[in-house]
Amino acid sequence: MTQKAIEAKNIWKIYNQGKPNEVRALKGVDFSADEGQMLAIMGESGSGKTTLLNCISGIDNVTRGEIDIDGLDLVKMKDKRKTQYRAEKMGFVFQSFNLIPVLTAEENVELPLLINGIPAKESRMRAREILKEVGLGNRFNHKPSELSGGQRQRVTIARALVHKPKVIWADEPTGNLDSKTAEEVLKLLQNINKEHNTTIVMVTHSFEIAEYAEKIVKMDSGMVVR
Amino acid sequence: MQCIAVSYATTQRSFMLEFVPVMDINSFTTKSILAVIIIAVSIAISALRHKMLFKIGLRNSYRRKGTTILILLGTLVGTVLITSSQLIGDSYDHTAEITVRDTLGEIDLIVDPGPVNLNKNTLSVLRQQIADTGETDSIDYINSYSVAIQKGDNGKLLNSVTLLSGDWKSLNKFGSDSSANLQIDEPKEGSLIIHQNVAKSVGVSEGDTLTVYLSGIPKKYIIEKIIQPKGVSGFRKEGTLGSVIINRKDFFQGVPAERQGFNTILVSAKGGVFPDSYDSGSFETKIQDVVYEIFPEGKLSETNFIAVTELKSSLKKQIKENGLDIMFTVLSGFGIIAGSLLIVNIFTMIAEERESELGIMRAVGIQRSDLVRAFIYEGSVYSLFSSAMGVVLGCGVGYLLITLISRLLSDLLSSFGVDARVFFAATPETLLLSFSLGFIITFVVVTVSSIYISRINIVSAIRQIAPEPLVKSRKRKALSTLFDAVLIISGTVLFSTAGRFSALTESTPTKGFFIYLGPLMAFWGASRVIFMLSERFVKLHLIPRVKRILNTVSSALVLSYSVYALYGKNFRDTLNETPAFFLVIGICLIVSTSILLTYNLDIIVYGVKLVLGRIRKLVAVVQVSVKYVADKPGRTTITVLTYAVILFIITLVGIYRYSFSLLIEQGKQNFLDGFDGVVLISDRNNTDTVIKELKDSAGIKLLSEGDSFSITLPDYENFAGDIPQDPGIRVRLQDNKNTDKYTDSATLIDNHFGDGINIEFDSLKDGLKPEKVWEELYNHPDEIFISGKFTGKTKFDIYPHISVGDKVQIQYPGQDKTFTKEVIAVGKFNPQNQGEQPTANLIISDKAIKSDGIIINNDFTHRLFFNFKEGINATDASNKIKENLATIGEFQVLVAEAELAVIQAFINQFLYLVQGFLALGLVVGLAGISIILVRSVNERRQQIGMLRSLGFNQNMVIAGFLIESTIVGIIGITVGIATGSVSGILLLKSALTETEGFTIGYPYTQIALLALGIYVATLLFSIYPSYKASRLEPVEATNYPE
Repeated sequence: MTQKAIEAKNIWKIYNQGKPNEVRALKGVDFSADEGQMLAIMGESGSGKTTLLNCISGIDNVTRGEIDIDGLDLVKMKDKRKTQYRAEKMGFVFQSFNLIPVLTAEENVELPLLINGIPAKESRMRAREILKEVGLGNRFNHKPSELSGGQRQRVTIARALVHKPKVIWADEPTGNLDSKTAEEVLKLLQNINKEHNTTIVMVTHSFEIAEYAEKIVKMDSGMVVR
Repeated sequence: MQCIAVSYATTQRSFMLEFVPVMDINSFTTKSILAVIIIAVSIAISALRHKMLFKIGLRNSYRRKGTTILILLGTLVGTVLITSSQLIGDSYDHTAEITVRDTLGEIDLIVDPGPVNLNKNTLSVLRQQIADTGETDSIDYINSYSVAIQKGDNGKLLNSVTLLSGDWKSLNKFGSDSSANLQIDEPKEGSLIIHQNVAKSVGVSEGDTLTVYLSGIPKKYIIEKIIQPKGVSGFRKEGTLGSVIINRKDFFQGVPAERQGFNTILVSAKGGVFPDSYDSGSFETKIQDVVYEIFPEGKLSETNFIAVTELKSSLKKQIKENGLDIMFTVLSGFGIIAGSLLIVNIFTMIAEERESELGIMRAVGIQRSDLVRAFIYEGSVYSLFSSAMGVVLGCGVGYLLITLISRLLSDLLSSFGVDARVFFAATPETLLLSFSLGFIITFVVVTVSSIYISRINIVSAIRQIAPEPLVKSRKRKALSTLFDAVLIISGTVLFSTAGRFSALTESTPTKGFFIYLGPLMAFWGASRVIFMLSERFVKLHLIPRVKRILNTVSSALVLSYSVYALYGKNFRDTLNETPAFFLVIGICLIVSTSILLTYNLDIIVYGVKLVLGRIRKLVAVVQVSVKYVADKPGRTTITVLTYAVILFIITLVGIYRYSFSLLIEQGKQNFLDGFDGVVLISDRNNTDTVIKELKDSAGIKLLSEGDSFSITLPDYENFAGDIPQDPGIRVRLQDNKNTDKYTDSATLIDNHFGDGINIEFDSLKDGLKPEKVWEELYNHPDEIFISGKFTGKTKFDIYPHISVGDKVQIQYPGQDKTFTKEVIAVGKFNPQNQGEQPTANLIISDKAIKSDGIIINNDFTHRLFFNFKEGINATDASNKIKENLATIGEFQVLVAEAELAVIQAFINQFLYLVQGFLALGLVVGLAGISIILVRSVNERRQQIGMLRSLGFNQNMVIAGFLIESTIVGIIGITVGIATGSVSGILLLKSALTETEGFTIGYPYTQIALLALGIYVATLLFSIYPSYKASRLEPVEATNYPE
């Protein structure tokens, strides 16, 4: 039987609660993803898909609900523990790449390893290996500003992958890329999912991209509709 | 045309309304104000024409209030420093006027016959002759003497007060404007009128008894009135704190009527207290000519002379020309530079932060000039507010500064009878000038920064990719080449011209500037040319490396040359005569050091990584933080500079303070060659009384008489020192045929001299032991001691060819006969002996004088040296001796410990005050680092969010920011302290090459505490932005920056 990587129940996210400008971004969402599964959360702009990803990945707080991840309740975790958990078990890929501009490609990639206390030499070696794996073996010392959009997203993926996380969260990973590069990036994510058995949860508004996933969760107005 | 100006002054007349001439159109102040008006009007018109840009420009100020407050804080410091420095000048001008009004009024000049009272006939002739010049308003007479006073019988004693007596009915009307004089009635017999500050000094009130010692004879008076003097009633002799006025009958009690004359003639030049067209020099010459007609060469008798002394201009000049305002203005220069750097940094950061927005604005058709406008509107608002606030705060700082200076100077100089109080004043002209300068400096820096940051590359700004190198137009290339050529040629010309100046004259202040700036300009031009050529011939990816090498080499050369300039002989005159030269060298020194470090920041960063990287928990944090610092070398350099410029000068002043304090501490031991104190007796008839008084004083251990004489020395070649000209005892080598002789002093010793003296000997007669020298000398009238050999380095030892065993001939004043003495010892020169030197320059026994049949006349000061018993407090004992002797007569008592302690305290406190004043500039550096971090939080919201997502906890974010500020702060602190230390030590060495034995002290503890204090302050100023950053949620990673 396949184990659940994440299971979220009755997730609510309300902004400005009790105020006239209250916004209910998530309205009692139930969500689950199996280990090693590649899953896409789909929806129109404003449907709450990114908010759901932020909440279940632990980078944003929920108003109420339960998130079971690895047998732990993410909602009840204190910030320090949650941060440590993210550092050890999660990887992130964002639409706007979010690389540290002053660091080179290899320095960006080795960062999660250093955070996890891996010695500098080993970190550097593993960072280079993973960069080679994503096709950037000749771009170790380039800064983000010296790379193309596709290359930057590859660095981001390498960074998300380098410490072998259980889950990679990807928010519109191809949003800033042309269709050809987007396809390359998605195939890369697919390969990672298969080769490393990493759970990938991806947010997108495009059916074409969602088709790369094994499972699609559709959202509308803060609720899962399918 | 005149206008009314209101000045605030800390006197009894707290608010003064003065008529001051309307400002001269050509004055610097008027030009500055006009410049401000033109700039402000231009900006206002431009803003009205570009309302949208004005709105864009202003929105940042109110959108980010915290940053705006920090920006204002950083930029107003410059104006605060300018204002407070300028107010020192105002206050001294005001003090000069108050002092003139209070102590002279209409008196412009005095005719002073010394201790002689001129009789009525002589006075009448003199008065007529002086009046006949047609240059005077009024002439009158007064009696004035220096006396000691004491509260009651045993109360506090003050030995520097003027005793006045005159016909006050007449004196009250002195001058063309009698309102310039406080109208006083002659005090009743047995009573006196006393100046307020004198009464305060001895602690007496009206009705109290005051003892006045005139020539040591005590007489008691009841204090009839305490006055705040004005005009003639305020007259006091030089070296006295103020006056007491007694009745004429009391003054001449027992003196026959024919001898009841006056000893001071007061003369008022035409015009009021401050005559419009008054040439003090020519007035003095005219009156002197008249007086000298009656008394040729001013000779009253063989020993007495009549002196004509102009007082008013001299007094004003003496008070005003103290150089303090110039000193503080130069010091402020460092604060102003720090403030300007902060503005550059802030604007560059704002531009970087809004790079994408600016790129889009440019893309949609906003002109580069419009961007400049928007920044200038924003900067002008800051300039306006910070200048206005700076002037207000500057008044407060100025007031504090003046109050402290006044207190320090009064503490130092009151014991010398000098009223050194300074009254605070602020004139509208100064305030306007300070405001204008503050505004203009800020505006210029804002404009230059705006022009620089408006040169963004649209594509790279929008896409946030590395900008392509700017392609220069042909016109720009030509201009750039021309500029380089001008730099090289003018630099070379300046340097070679300086060489010619050097041949013409030894002391040309501009020479140093030429020799210093010439090579720097030529070198700058040359390095620009090399860089231009490298752009053409070197591969593109190697250009940054070439730039780095060029900057490293250039800054290292500028640094070395600046260090040389602080010490080199060619620059010494310029450094001594032009304070601005020091400012220029100082800035070049700091800038070059900072550039050197910044272009090699990766080495430092590598070092930091190596150290902090060993802490496993910090590895990731250090990785990111050091890169943020290293990635922006320009920003880091400027921030480093804002710290360094201020710390540079604070450190330098610290070294000066400590070295002088050390010198004085050493001087206490050497001031009197081992003796603790000396009493100087000008009237030798009092010698026995003083000896008795000293012997009776508790705590005196030993007494020795060391008379000083004038002597004449033989000539020799290569002597460049000052040669005293008065004839005295003549000394020459027995067979020396040279007839030219120079005067110097000699000391006569008694049989106790050797018990107190403590000097080193250079050579001694065979078999003579050091401890026996004085005994030998005392017992052998035909022997003599020479204080030191001429070394060629000092002016003090002028006997190059006299050695032990030589026979010298000495000749006493007014005597033809010569006496032969044998040199038995030569002393070692003691450079720290700057006091009443017991061993300068020849020593013979007082027995020798007697056996030679010489009687010393009263012209020579008699000296009594003494030591205190162990455990005695020198200052208390010194005060006690002074009090006791003051009741006998006028004597100068010098106690090394006590005298030097006062000077030491003054130097310490004054230089602490200077350091405190300079520390204000540090606010700029601290505000700067805080602004940079606050802006960094905004700039990096998304990145911080990302780091939080990746696993940075809140503490790691805080640690990251603190490491960044630590790196920048520590580099700034190190650069400032290192350059300040090198400069301080070299400047002291350069200035004191002729003072042997001067030890340069380094205040390790103070500097360490300073560095630590500033580092802690840096961390404190970093805490808020760091905390703010740590509160950012990881979800910020998915948001766009504000």
